[in-house]
Amino acid sequence: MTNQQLKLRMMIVTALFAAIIGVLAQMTIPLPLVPITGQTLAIGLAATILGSRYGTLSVILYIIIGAVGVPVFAEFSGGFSKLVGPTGGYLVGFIPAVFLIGFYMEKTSFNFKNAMIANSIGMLITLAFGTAWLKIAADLSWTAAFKGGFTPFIIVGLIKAALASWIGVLVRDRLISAKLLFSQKTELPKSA
Amino acid sequence: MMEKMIFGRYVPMDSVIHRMDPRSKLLLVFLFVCIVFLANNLLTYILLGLFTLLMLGMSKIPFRFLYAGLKPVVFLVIFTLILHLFLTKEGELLFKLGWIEIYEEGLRQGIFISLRFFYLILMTSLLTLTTTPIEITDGLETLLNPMKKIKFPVHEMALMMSISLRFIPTLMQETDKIMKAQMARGVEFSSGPIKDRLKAIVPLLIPLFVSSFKRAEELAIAMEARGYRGGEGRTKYRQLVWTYIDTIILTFMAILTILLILFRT
Repeated sequence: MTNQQLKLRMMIVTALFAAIIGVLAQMTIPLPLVPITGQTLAIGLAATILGSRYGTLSVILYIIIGAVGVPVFAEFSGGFSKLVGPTGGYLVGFIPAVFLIGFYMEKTSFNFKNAMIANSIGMLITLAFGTAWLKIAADLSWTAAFKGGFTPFIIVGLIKAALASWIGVLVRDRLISAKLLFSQKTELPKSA
Repeated sequence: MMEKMIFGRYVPMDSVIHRMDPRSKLLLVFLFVCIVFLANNLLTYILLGLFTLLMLGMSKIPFRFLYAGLKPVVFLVIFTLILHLFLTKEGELLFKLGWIEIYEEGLRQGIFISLRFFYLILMTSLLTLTTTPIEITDGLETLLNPMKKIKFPVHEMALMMSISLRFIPTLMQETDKIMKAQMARGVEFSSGPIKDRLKAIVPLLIPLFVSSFKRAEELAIAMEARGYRGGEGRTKYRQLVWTYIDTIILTFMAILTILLILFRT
């Protein structure tokens, strides 16, 4: 396969993955007390399956698609207004989070322990972005924004991170054994 | 639901705003988002409000669509209003009842921030309510074209966006189909112990990914067979047209920006 052909395939896979994130974001996994949306799970999966580069790209695409009005954000919402609204920072925070999750796992290995560390870091980054934007948009003090936008979500975030790591590594292993992903370390040949 | 996935929040109508070029609408909204943060006194907030109302009026979008966009944030706006009311303790004391103290500055800040949110959400909703996702994609691609100079893959991004937009409905149907197929095999998605329910996601995700990877391969072959060779020299089916309406509305926007800079304190 030539470079050009590989690039086209990766572009399409990335685009389809953005669509998959949009579909999974509409699902909720019914847990007692905190229902978990598929959004966080899908973000973790993007990093685990596509790696840092294409994973980040697919999340950026997902956010742009939501911004242009397709209801791909949680609970069938969408529109640019979601991004500039008070909770928009959490969505933007997914981008650096995915990059770091993917990057960390590429540098170490794709097992549950590393996935858990990576996903937890990613979760903290997402929360930090969300809180920072909440502070700016709502003109709150740092302490108020932190109390309202960071601390209440840490425990839930850790549960989500554990779930995303567990399912991410499981799905990745299955896809490798089905020969749909290429190798253990990085799934893409260097030329892509 | 399917229609909503294809057209987004677009409300088909015939109005000045609907006929505007997506490029100028994007510029308008982007500028507006920036200048909203300039406003810091009553006059500037009134100016922004008048402009927002003017735009909304020209778009002829029925109020219920706008309300649908506002509804999810009303709670958050009230929340920030309350935070400001109780936590900002500057200016004159306006109201006191037991431990509740409301200060002038808190009330002022609270109302301004709520207004800011409403303006932002109304104006950005206006973009997605009057423009289809595919038009916005075209607009973005042309607007970002200069960024090709710094090696930003503008064409590739636009192509990927179109592919995503095209496949969201398909993948939704597919997910539904897989869920039904797995339920027929005895997988329970919404009952049983939590651990089983979590495990049930795996037989849903694997077929979804496998079919997506296959679809990607098929689409790539189809594109190559039709001679796709990247963005270089590619022509467009949908052409964007810039009219005098776009120039007039953007001029209005520029005047508003100048007024805001002059009148802010």
